[in-house]
Amino acid sequence: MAQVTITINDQKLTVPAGVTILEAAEHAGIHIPTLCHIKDIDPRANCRMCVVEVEKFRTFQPACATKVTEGMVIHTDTPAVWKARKLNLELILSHHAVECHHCMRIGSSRCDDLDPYFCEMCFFCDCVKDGFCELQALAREYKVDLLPFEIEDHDHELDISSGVIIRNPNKCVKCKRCVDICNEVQTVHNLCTMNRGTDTKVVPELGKPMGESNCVKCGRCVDVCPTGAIFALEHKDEVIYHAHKYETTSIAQVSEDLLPELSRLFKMNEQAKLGTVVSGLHKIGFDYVVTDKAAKAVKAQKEEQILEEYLTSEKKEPLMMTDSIAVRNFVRQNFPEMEERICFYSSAQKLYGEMAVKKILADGASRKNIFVLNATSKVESAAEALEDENINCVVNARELYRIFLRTGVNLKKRPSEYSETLMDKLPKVKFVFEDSEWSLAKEIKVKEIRWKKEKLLCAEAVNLGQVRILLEQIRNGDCTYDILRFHA
Amino acid sequence: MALETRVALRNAGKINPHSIDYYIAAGGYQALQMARKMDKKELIDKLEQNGKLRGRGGAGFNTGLKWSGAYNVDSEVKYVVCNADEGEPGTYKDRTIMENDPHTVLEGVLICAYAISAKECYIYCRGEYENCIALLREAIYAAEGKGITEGVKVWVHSGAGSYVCGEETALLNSLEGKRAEPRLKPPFPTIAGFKGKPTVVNNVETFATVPVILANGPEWFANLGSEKYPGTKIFSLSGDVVNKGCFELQTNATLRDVVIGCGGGVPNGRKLKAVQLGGSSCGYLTPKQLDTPVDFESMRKAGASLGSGATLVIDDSHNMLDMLVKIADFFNHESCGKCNPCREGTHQVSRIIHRLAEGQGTRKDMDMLRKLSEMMTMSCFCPLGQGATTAIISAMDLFPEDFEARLSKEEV
Repeated sequence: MAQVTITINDQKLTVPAGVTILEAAEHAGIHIPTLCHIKDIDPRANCRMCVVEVEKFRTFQPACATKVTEGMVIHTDTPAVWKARKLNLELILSHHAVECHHCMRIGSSRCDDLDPYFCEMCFFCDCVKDGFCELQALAREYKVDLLPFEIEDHDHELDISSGVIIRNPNKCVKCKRCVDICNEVQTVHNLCTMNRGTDTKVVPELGKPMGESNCVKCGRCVDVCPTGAIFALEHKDEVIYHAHKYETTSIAQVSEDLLPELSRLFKMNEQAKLGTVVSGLHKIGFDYVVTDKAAKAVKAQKEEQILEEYLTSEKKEPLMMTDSIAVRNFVRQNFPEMEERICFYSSAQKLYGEMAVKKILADGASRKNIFVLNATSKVESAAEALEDENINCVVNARELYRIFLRTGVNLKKRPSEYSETLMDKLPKVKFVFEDSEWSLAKEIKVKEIRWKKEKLLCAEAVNLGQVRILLEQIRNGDCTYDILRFHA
Repeated sequence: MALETRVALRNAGKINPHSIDYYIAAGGYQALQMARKMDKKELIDKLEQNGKLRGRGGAGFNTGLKWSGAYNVDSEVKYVVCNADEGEPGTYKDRTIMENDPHTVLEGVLICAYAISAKECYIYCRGEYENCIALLREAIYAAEGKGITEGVKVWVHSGAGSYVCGEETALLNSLEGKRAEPRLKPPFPTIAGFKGKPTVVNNVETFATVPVILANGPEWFANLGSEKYPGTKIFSLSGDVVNKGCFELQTNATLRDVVIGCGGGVPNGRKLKAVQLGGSSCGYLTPKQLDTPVDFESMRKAGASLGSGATLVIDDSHNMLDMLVKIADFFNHESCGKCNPCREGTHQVSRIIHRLAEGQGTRKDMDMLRKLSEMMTMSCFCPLGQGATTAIISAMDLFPEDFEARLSKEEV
């Protein structure tokens, strides 16, 4: 690939032609702040936080969208650029309901530490993203204190209609990441922009409440929101209450996918062991803490059954299988005629709920005194729990972190405990299918799997956009795969 | 009027806009026929190098260069879009052209379609101009009836009341049925415009000028007006001036010719205070600058800009703050909401200006205006935000006494 030579902050760099200034700078370890940018999605250049000075240009250029050219001279951190970014932040914050401990009253911009423990002590500030918020981090970085503008009224109502994905338009900074994810990647086409100028707002289709909209509850908007404008309903108080209550038999399931984020939040040098989380949950009063091994094994067993049934049946079309509730919602909305042809089976969470309740009931507890918690980072699981009578609630890593903070559990100091499983003996399964992570990828992953002498071509859709492509192929009759697995 | 040289407005008032026969009798569609006999490349070169025609919408980009951009792209489908979304306050030149001579616009569009081999053309007309839309549709129908279009389809598309649609990429988004927000450039529309295909977007006045250039020869046109910005420019006069209306002058005329010569100066014996040339996003000129030539470069040198040619004449009975309130409110209303600095910036600017105009403002507010302006000019996504504070800063520099007079008395 052709290379170009550019200069960033007096540093000569040789980078491939066609990369953006942001990519080039990142590669050289030069930090440029961003707020609306999502890696691997076409840049929108909405937030103007990444503006840099490029010589020979009349105005500042957005680093996320400007491609490097030969001989380009870029300054990322001049006083003028710094001033523009700071004023930009002040403008954004004047239209943002600041409810975190970036407290305008005490001038906390002088405090570099973003940990939310102040907040947990006084319980005065109340934002789910406190400590994790990109806007808050930027405000610290740019020493934003007293706002030079009148603060706007925050008179939007919280949209809690969906029961799991909560919208707080007062905190929206209109970066439109969620809109991009919803439309470009997931192709759900629910979130969109309404009105113009300062009245601009991000709303579900036609301005309906989330619960009545086309939302399929995949939760990907929650994952990308830089502030607390879209978040998953929290259950901190409920969890602590039930864990403490003697009458309640409480059970929690923990899985490995929490560990990277928990370790980061606890500022641990190496990844926390699952055993320490188990021990932490025991300490705050959970009677049983189990790993997801049993549920996963039973799920894999089901998958094998489905595969077996498919292979012995008359194969008219590829096997379409999914355990995702968001995919089910997506199919109902966009491909209603396909719903019956797709094999929906229980997710690991659902199986866990069934097994957990059965186990505790067998010990002689009454159903109303059982509290079943699943700790996982997937918003989709939280959405599923709404419909699942066995699961009381789902918490993610951040929530678990805040629960631990509030109850004085320090993961660094917890011993690693042996974690139980829900079954005495796990069933023997082969795990034909591997777990897939959600990604922005456009290209669909195809793998060949072997099952009892048969070779099968398996396509894994890792986002709803890919699900749409595969289902359209099925509809047109030009699908060449044997098995289609859908994830949202 | 002797001062005037009518090129784009050559038929205004002389022919019946409803009748294609009048237009043809006045020499209409001859340029199109001439063009169709010419080599496409040669035609574009003539415009670019000999005619030196530059866009009349406000940015002053060489029209031929733009066309050659689209011409050079290898694509089966190309589009021509005429920007008739005349949203700049105080500008009504495109309306005057379309109301008086819709066929000249159509002819210009068809010449461009031939030059770049486009089969489909759109005229994106401001929604409020119902009359123009009807006239244009009538003209297209008549031209199709006479076989003049030769299979090229021309549609008139009505805008929906958004100022930012004057920006070509926002216009294209709107035309595609999307939210009217400007797009990232590059790619420029000549490479990837309407529906991702090469598209030439030009102003009504530009298209109306093209047939004349071809009919009279590009050299004739290049000799009109100033050297770097040859030809004529239409000025739409409004405000405190005796003769309000559109006047077309050669670009080597001075602002005095426009305001005093054509406009007849300020009425009621009052004194001229300022002239705002180009529209709301342009700076003010003082009576001392009346001898500045009205071409693109001279205006830029004088710290103002030619813009769309809107000429707002202001007499000494006004405090500039009263003008600025309108301007600030206008931009606050018209910001599309895409980028932060414009969306929130225009809002805060409007608040501060209101405060100042109502006598509640302080010096701190004025400093903040400068800070905001500096940042918005440098950081905003499109020219709307970048130019939203130009008039305010210009007024602060030129007429500080207006601001002083209204400062809050309670200031410590």
